[in-house]
Amino acid sequence: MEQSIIEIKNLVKRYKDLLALDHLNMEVRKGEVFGLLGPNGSGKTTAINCILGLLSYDKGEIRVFGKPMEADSYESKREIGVVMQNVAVFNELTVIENIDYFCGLYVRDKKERKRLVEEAVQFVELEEFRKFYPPKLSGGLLRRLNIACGIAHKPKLIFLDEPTVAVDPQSRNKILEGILELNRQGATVVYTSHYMEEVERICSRILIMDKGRPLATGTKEELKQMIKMGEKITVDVSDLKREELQAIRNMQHVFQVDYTDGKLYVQCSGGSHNLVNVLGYLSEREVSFGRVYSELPTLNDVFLEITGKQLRD
Amino acid sequence: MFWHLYKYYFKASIRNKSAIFWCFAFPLILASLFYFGFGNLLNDSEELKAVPVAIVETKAAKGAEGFKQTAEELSKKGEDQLLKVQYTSLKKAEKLLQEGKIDGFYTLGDNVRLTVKENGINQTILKEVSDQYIQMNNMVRQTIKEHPEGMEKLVKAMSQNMVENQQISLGNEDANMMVQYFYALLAMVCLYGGFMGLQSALHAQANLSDIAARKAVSPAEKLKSTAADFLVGVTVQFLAFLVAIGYMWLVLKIDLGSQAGFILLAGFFGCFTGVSIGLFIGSIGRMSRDTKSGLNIGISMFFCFFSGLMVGNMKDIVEKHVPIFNRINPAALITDCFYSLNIYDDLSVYFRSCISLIIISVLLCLGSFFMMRRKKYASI
Amino acid sequence: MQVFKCFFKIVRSKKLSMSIYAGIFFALTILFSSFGKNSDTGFQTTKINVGIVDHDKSTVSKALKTFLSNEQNVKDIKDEKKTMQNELFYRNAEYILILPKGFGESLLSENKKAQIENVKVPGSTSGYMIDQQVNKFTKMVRSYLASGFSEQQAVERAENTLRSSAKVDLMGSKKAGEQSNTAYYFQYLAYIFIALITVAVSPVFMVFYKKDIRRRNQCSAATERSRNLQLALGTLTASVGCWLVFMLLAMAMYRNEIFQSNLLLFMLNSVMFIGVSAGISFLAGLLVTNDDALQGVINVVSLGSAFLGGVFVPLEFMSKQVLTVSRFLPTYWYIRSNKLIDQLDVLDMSHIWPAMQGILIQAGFALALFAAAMLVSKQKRTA
Repeated sequence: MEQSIIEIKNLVKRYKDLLALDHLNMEVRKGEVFGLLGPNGSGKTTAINCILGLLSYDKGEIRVFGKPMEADSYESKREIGVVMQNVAVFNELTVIENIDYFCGLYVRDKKERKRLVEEAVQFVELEEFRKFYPPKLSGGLLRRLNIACGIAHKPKLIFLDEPTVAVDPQSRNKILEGILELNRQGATVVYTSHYMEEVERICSRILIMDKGRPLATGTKEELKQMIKMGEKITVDVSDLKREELQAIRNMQHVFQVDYTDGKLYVQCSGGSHNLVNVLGYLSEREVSFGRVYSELPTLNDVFLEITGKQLRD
Repeated sequence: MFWHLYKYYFKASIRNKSAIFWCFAFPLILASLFYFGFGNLLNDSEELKAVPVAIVETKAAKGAEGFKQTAEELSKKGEDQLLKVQYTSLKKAEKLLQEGKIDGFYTLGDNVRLTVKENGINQTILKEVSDQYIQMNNMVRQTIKEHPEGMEKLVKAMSQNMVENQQISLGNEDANMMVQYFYALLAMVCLYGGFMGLQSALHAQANLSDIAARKAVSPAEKLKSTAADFLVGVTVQFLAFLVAIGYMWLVLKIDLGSQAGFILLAGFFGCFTGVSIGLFIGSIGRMSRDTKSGLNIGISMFFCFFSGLMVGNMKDIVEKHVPIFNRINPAALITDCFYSLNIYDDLSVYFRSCISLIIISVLLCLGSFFMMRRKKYASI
Repeated sequence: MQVFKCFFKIVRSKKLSMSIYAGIFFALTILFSSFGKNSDTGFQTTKINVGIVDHDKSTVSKALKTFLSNEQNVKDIKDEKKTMQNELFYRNAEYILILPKGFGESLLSENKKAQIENVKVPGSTSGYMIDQQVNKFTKMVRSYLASGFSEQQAVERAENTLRSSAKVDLMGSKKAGEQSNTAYYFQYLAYIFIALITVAVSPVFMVFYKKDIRRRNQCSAATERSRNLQLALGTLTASVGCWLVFMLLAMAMYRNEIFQSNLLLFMLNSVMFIGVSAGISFLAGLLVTNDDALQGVINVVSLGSAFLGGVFVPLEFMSKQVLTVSRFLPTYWYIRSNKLIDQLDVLDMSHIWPAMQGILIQAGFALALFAAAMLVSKQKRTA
């Protein structure tokens, strides 16, 4: 089994009456892109701040690189890069100066730093904006600068806390690709978001949380297997008789069938020939049908199933 | 790493244009206002204007001739003309006084009586004139009665100024009271460093700013990075101080005393204290940035007020009633430094004040350190 | 009333700095009404601390000391530079008189000048007063001695003679230039009103005219008119509320003397001035876009106008040129009217008129400020 970089056991954090983290357990392994998925206010940022040693917590245990994380765990901190949810840069320093400033908190050697800063600028593709001041940058560029400031020192463990909020699709793509690139270069990534497509796209393992509680952990596939639904088939059918509906309901693997507004929804729990079976039956009965869709479940379905509500609010 | 932090934070600080503009410009504006406001008080060439007065003679004016002579004497045209006399009727005099054309009138009867409308410097002069006349009269009368043979000598002695009461200086003789205002203004410049200190505090606590949070997750030690920010604050503020004092020295040509080195040193300690105050305020509790900055400006104004920024002799009043406050009020200590340098050649007050400033700064910094040292925050 | 409510939420968030300014104000007024009046005007109600170094110990030197101690606090001090400097610095002695050995005898001589020395707070009124007293006394003693009186007789007679003085009648005003506590209170209001209202109200306008918020407001269903009305109403309420608080406090603090016929005029004058302050804060809120800068502006405007307008340093001390400039400040007219109102005895139109003039001029200033602010806000709206 791979070495675990972050271990959290029974983490509890209260803000007065609000239970922000309720016995959170979590493990991040070396080399993975770990996704923390949850709606706004579910405790993702709180969890990250606890891991980083910024927040005190009421109960539980956190180990990073196998050691507890304290305010003076400088050795551990040296290996960590953080991209905060809020853009944290000096408005009075240029793009390059900002990156150099924050990189300088980690790297003493001037030459080395110069190289790293240059690489970071290229990495987030801000070459043209070197001498720009942050207030002059667009939202997407600002986010990229924010990322560059967090990762310029080539950390082994990178936290990205919703780095794509309010970012145009183009910048978002660049950011996501960049994260994968960092991962390929060997960094372990902890990524939080409430956009499931992003998480689905880049994360190898995912923790879904809500109201401070972990609801499910695993790879995408594992998560999807956790729920009953394996495949969702939608067929446009203009006319369908009751007994035909009943017949479909009785087919193997099918566990729920609905027919509304000329659309037939069939949810199957597994098996490999569900679509063929359904369509075969329909042609056999000489029911004419229009467009056919077959989808695998998404994280949204997983979330819906687990919490009973839509992920995106 | 320290210099790396210092360099960039310095850059960032001086590029914050509007803050820097006000930090540098407001002392210049106020100094100019002060200068124009009491420019004529700063230049000692204050000319005495003759006091307009009327003399009203009544029938019973017995000893009047003598007084009229005296009045004549005093209203001789020249540099030291004291009075501008006109002889009128009582009615007219009253009317003139009412209209403010004269500052008072003498009624000559059995005795000299002065009528004025209000108290003031000119009225004091008028009273002094008549008092002296009456006293001289008394003296002459007594002499005629008891030592008539000495009359000649008496008259001679009265016209001579044989007692020389010489002011000796313990330092700068030309020190002008009005310079106090400029000292207080310089103290205010120093205490304005509070803004910089406040900023350093905000950049040091993860629960107060994003930048601090980012710093907190880096391996940079908090003490080191805060110290760098703090020193930047002192540097910037001291620059503002230099600009302000340079302007007073070179442009307004105000005599602030000759010991430039000591003055600048006191300014430096003052800036240090100012920044410490801001740092301390910035590290107390969880008040919002706005509240803290309001508190900071309010406190510095409070200190400046008691050091005489608004009322020049405020410090004297405090000295008379609550002297201990002058020993701990940083603004008063800063003005004490300048003042004692300007007035006295003895440096004991100067050093005492400087040491007090250092002690205050150190205490505030230590306090801030202990408050900020908390490693993790309950909420961010 | 969303805008109105929001207005006071913002004002409330400034309560700390507001209360500190108010604190400064009360320190100012309390100190001045209890610890003697403004000594800059040449009057000193407290005794002056005089230190004497008497090397002579003659009849004359002792008599001089007695003479001074009739009116001042006199004490012996050591003839040592450092002590003197300290005593002087901490005002334990504001004037130090040094009488050399042979001082008494030198007064007997006909041609030789008697030398004495003094150290004083440079340029101070108290120093001048003691100079005068010493001068008068010594001159008189010397004159008596010259005409043949014995030393003992000379000092006794001098002391007696110096007690005689001209009778002074005060015509017209009973107040005779002495400023009442009430007048001092209202005088310092000129500083505090500008500072306080600007601290409280300017941030509101800063917020409402910030680009994004302004645009969002412009897009909203509420009309421009209603929003402006609410802002105006907020400014009015804040100003008048602040004014009322200070009026009530004045009545509480000076209940023994304040209830006179001119109180209404004091109040009229100050309510006009708070209108001016509101105008200033409105304009400042529109022109300044940054919190730190606002602090600088507040200081420059409140302190600057207070100094030039004669709040802290009496107008009589200023040069003609400066007074010409001061006339363009509302503070000048406020202070002028305040003084005139304080000196009023007879309340008829001809006496009130000069003060009313000042009040009307302030009204003009207030209108001009608001007009200017409206103009700026219009420009901002279309910008």
